[in-house]
Amino acid sequence: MSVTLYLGCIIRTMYPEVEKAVKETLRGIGFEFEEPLEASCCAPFEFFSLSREAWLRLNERNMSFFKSMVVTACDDCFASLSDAFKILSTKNGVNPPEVKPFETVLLERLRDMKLRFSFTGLRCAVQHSCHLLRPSRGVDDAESPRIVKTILEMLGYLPVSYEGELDCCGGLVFEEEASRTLAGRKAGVVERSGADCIVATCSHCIRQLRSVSMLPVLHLAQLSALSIGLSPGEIGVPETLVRRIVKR
Amino acid sequence: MASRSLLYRSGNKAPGKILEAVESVRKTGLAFSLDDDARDRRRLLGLPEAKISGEGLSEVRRVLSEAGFG
Repeated sequence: MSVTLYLGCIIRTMYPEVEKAVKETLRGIGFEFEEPLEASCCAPFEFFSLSREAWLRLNERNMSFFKSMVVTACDDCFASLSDAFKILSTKNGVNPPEVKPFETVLLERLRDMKLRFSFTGLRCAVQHSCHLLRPSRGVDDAESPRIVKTILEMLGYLPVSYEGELDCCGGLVFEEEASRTLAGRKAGVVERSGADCIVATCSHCIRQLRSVSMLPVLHLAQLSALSIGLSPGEIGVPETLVRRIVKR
Repeated sequence: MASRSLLYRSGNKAPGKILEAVESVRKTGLAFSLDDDARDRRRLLGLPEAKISGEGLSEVRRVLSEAGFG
Protein backbone atom coordinates (compact mmCIF):
# COMPACT_ATOMS: atom_id res chain seq x y z
CA MET A 1 0.00 0.00 0.00
CA SER A 2 1.28 3.45 -0.89
CA VAL A 3 0.78 6.39 1.44
CA THR A 4 1.99 9.97 1.80
CA LEU A 5 4.31 10.52 4.74
CA TYR A 6 4.12 13.89 6.48
CA LEU A 7 6.86 14.19 9.10
CA GLY A 8 6.39 17.74 10.36
CA CYS A 9 8.98 20.41 11.11
CA ILE A 10 10.45 19.20 14.39
CA ILE A 11 11.23 15.67 13.28
CA ARG A 12 12.74 16.90 10.00
CA THR A 13 14.89 19.57 11.58
CA MET A 14 15.80 18.12 14.99
CA TYR A 15 15.23 14.39 15.15
CA PRO A 16 16.53 12.64 12.01
CA GLU A 17 16.82 9.38 13.96
CA VAL A 18 13.06 9.51 14.58
CA GLU A 19 12.51 10.11 10.87
CA LYS A 20 14.63 7.04 10.11
CA ALA A 21 12.65 4.99 12.63
CA VAL A 22 9.28 6.08 11.21
CA LYS A 23 10.36 5.26 7.67
CA GLU A 24 11.87 1.89 8.56
CA THR A 25 8.81 0.93 10.58
CA LEU A 26 6.49 1.83 7.71
CA ARG A 27 8.61 -0.25 5.33
CA GLY A 28 8.68 -3.04 7.88
CA ILE A 29 4.89 -3.20 8.04
CA GLY A 30 4.51 -3.24 4.29
CA PHE A 31 3.97 0.37 3.28
CA GLU A 32 5.53 2.27 0.42
CA PHE A 33 5.44 6.00 0.88
CA GLU A 34 5.88 9.26 -0.93
CA GLU A 35 7.39 12.16 0.95
CA PRO A 36 6.32 15.54 -0.47
CA LEU A 37 9.43 17.61 0.23
CA GLU A 38 7.70 20.75 -1.08
CA ALA A 39 5.11 20.68 1.70
CA SER A 40 5.59 23.37 4.34
CA CYS A 41 4.84 23.56 8.04
CA CYS A 42 1.21 22.57 8.71
CA ALA A 43 0.92 25.76 10.75
CA PRO A 44 -0.68 24.10 13.78
CA PHE A 45 -2.82 25.63 16.47
CA GLU A 46 -4.35 27.88 13.85
CA PHE A 47 -0.96 29.22 12.97
CA PHE A 48 0.23 29.49 16.51
CA SER A 49 -2.99 31.26 17.47
CA LEU A 50 -2.34 34.29 15.28
CA SER A 51 -3.98 33.61 11.93
CA ARG A 52 -6.64 31.15 10.92
CA GLU A 53 -6.33 32.36 7.32
CA ALA A 54 -2.62 31.54 7.15
CA TRP A 55 -3.26 28.12 8.68
CA LEU A 56 -5.94 27.25 6.13
CA ARG A 57 -4.06 28.60 3.13
CA LEU A 58 -0.78 26.89 3.99
CA ASN A 59 -2.65 23.61 4.36
CA GLU A 60 -4.56 24.18 1.14
CA ARG A 61 -1.15 24.40 -0.49
CA ASN A 62 0.06 21.30 1.39
CA MET A 63 -3.02 19.35 0.31
CA SER A 64 -2.08 19.86 -3.34
CA PHE A 65 1.01 17.67 -2.78
CA PHE A 66 -0.83 14.80 -1.12
CA LYS A 67 -1.93 12.14 -3.58
CA SER A 68 -2.82 9.33 -1.17
CA MET A 69 -3.73 8.73 2.46
CA VAL A 70 -1.53 10.91 4.67
CA VAL A 71 0.34 9.32 7.57
CA THR A 72 1.59 11.84 10.11
CA ALA A 73 4.54 11.23 12.43
CA CYS A 74 3.50 13.95 14.88
CA ASP A 75 0.09 14.19 16.57
CA ASP A 76 0.05 17.97 16.31
CA CYS A 77 0.44 17.68 12.54
CA PHE A 78 -2.33 15.07 12.54
CA ALA A 79 -4.67 17.44 14.35
CA SER A 80 -3.75 20.44 12.20
CA LEU A 81 -4.08 18.65 8.86
CA SER A 82 -7.29 16.81 9.85
CA ASP A 83 -9.01 19.95 11.05
CA ALA A 84 -7.85 22.08 8.13
CA PHE A 85 -8.85 19.49 5.52
CA LYS A 86 -12.30 19.18 7.07
CA ILE A 87 -12.87 22.93 6.77
CA LEU A 88 -11.33 23.11 3.28
CA SER A 89 -13.51 20.26 2.01
CA THR A 90 -16.65 22.12 3.07
CA LYS A 91 -15.42 25.50 1.87
CA ASN A 92 -14.01 24.41 -1.50
CA GLY A 93 -16.08 21.30 -2.18
CA VAL A 94 -12.93 19.19 -2.56
CA ASN A 95 -12.41 15.63 -1.45
CA PRO A 96 -9.40 15.74 0.87
CA PRO A 97 -7.13 12.77 1.51
CA GLU A 98 -7.66 10.76 4.65
CA VAL A 99 -5.21 11.63 7.45
CA LYS A 100 -4.07 9.02 9.97
CA PRO A 101 -1.51 9.25 12.75
CA PHE A 102 1.44 6.86 12.66
CA GLU A 103 0.20 4.95 15.71
CA THR A 104 -3.15 4.09 14.09
CA VAL A 105 -1.46 2.78 10.98
CA LEU A 106 1.02 0.81 13.08
CA LEU A 107 -1.69 -0.77 15.21
CA GLU A 108 -3.69 -1.73 12.13
CA ARG A 109 -0.72 -3.44 10.55
CA LEU A 110 1.12 -4.77 13.57
CA ARG A 111 -0.13 -8.29 13.07
CA ASP A 112 1.88 -8.41 9.86
CA MET A 113 5.12 -7.52 11.63
CA LYS A 114 7.71 -10.19 12.08
CA LEU A 115 9.75 -9.33 15.16
CA ARG A 116 13.32 -10.54 15.22
CA PHE A 117 13.46 -10.61 18.96
CA SER A 118 11.04 -10.07 21.75
CA PHE A 119 11.98 -7.69 24.50
CA THR A 120 10.33 -8.09 27.84
CA GLY A 121 10.30 -5.80 30.80
CA LEU A 122 11.22 -2.38 29.42
CA ARG A 123 8.96 -0.08 31.38
CA CYS A 124 7.50 2.70 29.26
CA ALA A 125 5.58 5.72 30.51
CA VAL A 126 3.32 6.94 27.74
CA GLN A 127 2.97 10.67 27.21
CA HIS A 128 -0.52 10.93 25.69
CA SER A 129 -0.57 13.98 23.47
CA CYS A 130 -3.34 16.52 23.84
CA HIS A 131 -3.52 16.92 20.07
CA LEU A 132 -4.48 13.30 19.58
CA LEU A 133 -7.13 13.26 22.28
CA ARG A 134 -8.68 16.68 22.72
CA PRO A 135 -10.89 17.46 20.96
CA SER A 136 -11.56 13.87 20.02
CA ARG A 137 -10.90 13.07 16.39
CA GLY A 138 -12.01 9.48 16.73
CA VAL A 139 -8.55 7.98 17.08
CA ASP A 140 -8.51 7.02 20.74
CA ASP A 141 -10.56 7.29 23.92
CA ALA A 142 -9.91 10.77 25.30
CA GLU A 143 -10.62 9.69 28.88
CA SER A 144 -8.78 6.39 28.81
CA PRO A 145 -6.42 6.25 25.83
CA ARG A 146 -5.21 2.79 24.88
CA ILE A 147 -3.70 2.93 21.43
CA VAL A 148 -0.03 3.54 22.28
CA LYS A 149 -0.13 1.21 25.28
CA THR A 150 -1.65 -1.56 23.17
CA ILE A 151 1.10 -1.17 20.58
CA LEU A 152 3.80 -1.25 23.26
CA GLU A 153 2.34 -4.43 24.72
CA MET A 154 2.23 -6.04 21.28
CA LEU A 155 5.88 -5.12 20.78
CA GLY A 156 6.87 -6.67 24.10
CA TYR A 157 7.26 -3.53 26.18
CA LEU A 158 5.58 -2.82 29.48
CA PRO A 159 3.48 0.35 29.75
CA VAL A 160 3.44 1.77 33.27
CA SER A 161 0.67 3.90 34.74
CA TYR A 162 1.37 7.10 36.62
CA GLU A 163 -0.53 9.93 38.22
CA GLY A 164 -1.65 12.67 35.87
CA GLU A 165 -1.07 10.56 32.78
CA LEU A 166 -3.43 12.69 30.70
CA ASP A 167 -1.95 16.00 31.81
CA CYS A 168 -0.47 18.31 29.21
CA CYS A 169 3.34 18.48 29.07
CA GLY A 170 3.19 22.20 28.29
CA GLY A 171 4.96 21.80 24.96
CA LEU A 172 2.68 24.20 23.14
CA VAL A 173 1.97 26.48 26.05
CA PHE A 174 3.61 29.67 24.94
CA GLU A 175 3.76 31.36 28.33
CA GLU A 176 7.20 30.20 29.41
CA GLU A 177 6.69 29.88 33.14
CA ALA A 178 3.50 27.84 32.76
CA SER A 179 5.19 25.69 30.13
CA ARG A 180 8.18 24.95 32.39
CA THR A 181 5.94 24.18 35.37
CA LEU A 182 3.84 21.68 33.44
CA ALA A 183 6.90 19.97 31.97
CA GLY A 184 8.72 19.77 35.30
CA ARG A 185 5.71 18.33 37.08
CA LYS A 186 5.15 15.72 34.39
CA ALA A 187 8.81 14.66 34.27
CA GLY A 188 8.97 14.38 38.06
CA VAL A 189 5.92 12.13 38.30
CA VAL A 190 7.15 9.89 35.50
CA GLU A 191 10.62 9.56 37.02
CA ARG A 192 9.09 8.45 40.33
CA SER A 193 6.87 5.89 38.55
CA GLY A 194 9.77 3.51 37.92
CA ALA A 195 9.62 3.90 34.15
CA ASP A 196 12.78 3.31 32.11
CA CYS A 197 11.76 5.74 29.38
CA ILE A 198 9.02 8.03 28.18
CA VAL A 199 7.26 7.25 24.91
CA ALA A 200 5.37 9.85 22.90
CA THR A 201 3.87 10.30 19.46
CA CYS A 202 3.92 14.09 19.33
CA SER A 203 7.16 15.89 18.54
CA HIS A 204 6.26 18.85 20.76
CA CYS A 205 5.92 16.46 23.71
CA ILE A 206 9.26 14.85 22.84
CA ARG A 207 11.02 18.19 22.57
CA GLN A 208 9.47 19.50 25.74
CA LEU A 209 10.10 16.45 27.90
CA ARG A 210 13.65 15.97 26.58
CA SER A 211 14.41 19.43 27.90
CA VAL A 212 13.53 18.49 31.48
CA SER A 213 13.55 14.71 31.97
CA MET A 214 16.46 12.57 33.12
CA LEU A 215 14.84 9.59 31.37
CA PRO A 216 15.24 8.91 27.64
CA VAL A 217 12.26 10.33 25.75
CA LEU A 218 11.51 8.32 22.63
CA HIS A 219 9.08 8.44 19.76
CA LEU A 220 6.99 5.26 19.55
CA ALA A 221 8.59 4.62 16.13
CA GLN A 222 12.01 4.26 17.73
CA LEU A 223 10.77 1.31 19.77
CA SER A 224 8.90 -0.25 16.86
CA ALA A 225 11.97 0.12 14.64
CA LEU A 226 14.10 -1.47 17.36
CA SER A 227 11.69 -4.40 17.48
CA ILE A 228 11.89 -4.93 13.74
CA GLY A 229 15.67 -5.08 13.89
CA LEU A 230 17.15 -1.62 13.33
CA SER A 231 20.35 -0.94 15.22
CA PRO A 232 19.85 1.36 18.24
CA GLY A 233 22.45 3.83 16.98
CA GLU A 234 20.67 4.39 13.66
CA ILE A 235 17.39 5.24 15.35
CA GLY A 236 18.69 7.14 18.35
CA VAL A 237 17.88 4.62 21.08
CA PRO A 238 20.49 5.00 23.83
CA GLU A 239 22.72 1.93 24.33
CA THR A 240 22.19 2.21 28.08
CA LEU A 241 18.50 1.62 27.53
CA VAL A 242 19.14 -1.36 25.28
CA ARG A 243 21.49 -2.91 27.86
CA ARG A 244 18.80 -2.49 30.48
CA ILE A 245 16.32 -4.31 28.26
CA VAL A 246 18.61 -7.22 27.57
CA LYS A 247 19.47 -7.68 31.24
CA ARG A 248 15.86 -8.34 32.19
CA MET B 1 -6.81 31.74 21.02
CA ALA B 2 -9.42 33.98 19.36
CA SER B 3 -8.54 36.76 21.80
CA ARG B 4 -4.84 36.43 21.04
CA SER B 5 -5.53 36.53 17.31
CA LEU B 6 -7.67 39.65 17.74
CA LEU B 7 -5.07 41.35 19.95
CA TYR B 8 -2.31 40.59 17.45
CA ARG B 9 -4.34 42.06 14.60
CA SER B 10 -4.92 45.15 16.72
CA GLY B 11 -1.20 45.75 16.86
CA ASN B 12 -0.27 43.99 20.10
CA LYS B 13 2.84 41.88 20.22
CA ALA B 14 2.57 38.09 20.27
CA PRO B 15 4.81 36.00 22.57
CA GLY B 16 8.40 35.76 21.33
CA LYS B 17 8.32 32.00 20.83
CA ILE B 18 5.37 32.32 18.44
CA LEU B 19 6.97 35.13 16.48
CA GLU B 20 10.19 33.11 16.14
CA ALA B 21 8.26 30.18 14.69
CA VAL B 22 6.36 32.44 12.29
CA GLU B 23 9.62 34.01 11.15
CA SER B 24 11.14 30.58 10.62
CA VAL B 25 8.19 29.51 8.45
CA ARG B 26 8.65 32.70 6.43
CA LYS B 27 12.39 32.03 6.00
CA THR B 28 12.43 28.27 5.40
CA GLY B 29 8.86 26.99 5.12
CA LEU B 30 9.37 25.09 8.38
CA ALA B 31 8.68 26.27 11.92
CA PHE B 32 12.17 25.34 13.13
CA SER B 33 15.45 25.75 11.35
CA LEU B 34 17.89 22.98 10.56
CA ASP B 35 21.28 23.35 12.23
CA ASP B 36 24.60 21.93 10.99
CA ASP B 37 24.56 19.03 13.42
CA ALA B 38 21.10 17.86 12.30
CA ARG B 39 22.11 18.37 8.66
CA ASP B 40 25.14 16.09 9.17
CA ARG B 41 23.10 13.47 10.99
CA ARG B 42 20.55 13.47 8.18
CA ARG B 43 23.33 12.93 5.65
CA LEU B 44 24.80 10.06 7.67
CA LEU B 45 21.39 8.39 7.89
CA GLY B 46 20.81 8.76 4.15
CA LEU B 47 17.81 11.06 4.57
CA PRO B 48 16.82 13.64 1.94
CA GLU B 49 17.63 17.29 2.46
CA ALA B 50 14.98 18.96 4.63
CA LYS B 51 14.40 21.95 2.43
CA ILE B 52 11.69 23.22 0.12
CA SER B 53 12.54 24.78 -3.24
CA GLY B 54 12.91 28.50 -3.90
CA GLU B 55 9.66 28.46 -5.85
CA GLY B 56 7.87 26.71 -2.98
CA LEU B 57 9.27 29.17 -0.52
CA SER B 58 7.99 32.07 -2.61
CA GLU B 59 4.51 30.56 -2.48
CA VAL B 60 4.69 30.18 1.31
CA ARG B 61 5.87 33.79 1.69
CA ARG B 62 3.08 35.04 -0.55
CA VAL B 63 0.47 33.20 1.53
CA LEU B 64 1.91 34.61 4.75
CA SER B 65 2.14 38.10 3.35
CA GLU B 66 -1.47 38.04 2.14
CA ALA B 67 -2.54 36.71 5.55
CA GLY B 68 -0.97 39.70 7.27
CA PHE B 69 2.58 38.57 8.02
CA GLY B 70 4.67 41.07 6.13
